[in-house]
Amino acid sequence: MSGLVSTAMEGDVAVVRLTGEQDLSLSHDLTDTLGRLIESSRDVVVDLGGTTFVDSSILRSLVEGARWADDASVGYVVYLPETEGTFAVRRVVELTGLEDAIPIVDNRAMALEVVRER
Amino acid sequence: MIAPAEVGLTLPALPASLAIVRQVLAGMGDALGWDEAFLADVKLAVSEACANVVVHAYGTEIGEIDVHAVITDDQLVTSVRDSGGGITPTIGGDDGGGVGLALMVSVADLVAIRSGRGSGTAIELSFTIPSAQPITP
Repeated sequence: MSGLVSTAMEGDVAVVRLTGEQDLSLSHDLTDTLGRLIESSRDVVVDLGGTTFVDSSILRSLVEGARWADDASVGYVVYLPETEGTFAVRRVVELTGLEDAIPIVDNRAMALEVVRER
Repeated sequence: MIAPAEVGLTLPALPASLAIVRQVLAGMGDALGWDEAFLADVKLAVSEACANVVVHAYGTEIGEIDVHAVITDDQLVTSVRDSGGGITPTIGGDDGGGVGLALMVSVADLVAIRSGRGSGTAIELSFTIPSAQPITP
């Protein structure tokens, strides 16, 4: 399944949803999307609930987004649920220790709550 | 059913080719009953090797990626080759460019890289197939 990067507002939070397999073909779209949202001072939740694969280019985009959000003092949280479909994504997160660099939560409502508090 | 023992692909070195490679590996995994964790690791490592070709091998030219997968007994050996300018692989680095190689090393039993100026790069990744099903003639 090819991937998709889409954005929707949930209240005052921008939710960037990554669906399907995410790789080099979409990492520029993701980086551009995160950059635009953070530049406009939007709090951001990256929703990986429908993501079935990520490669290192996507990880770099996510880490870059976290760095930009930190510099801009806006909220930035990654939502990654423990579902069967996200197995491969959670595997990459575990291998790279991504949770040490980015706030990652497994509950969507909590992700929205946490990002508003930051 | 005769299980596939060898698969070869030649694709343009473009980002869109990465999904095709992973789909072929998923098809092999389905046919041979690979478990989910093993298939995820193989897809990750081979996709990273192919992404390395897309990003580094040809500069502004469009070249090709050759992907080969061979199964013998409980071993899966994959190779990803290009005919580009050659690379100097590193793990780590300030730009994070070594994360892909670090992932390959994390999930494969063996990662062998051969690269020479003007002769392209070959990345060979070997895996032990868990509870491998024998390939029958």
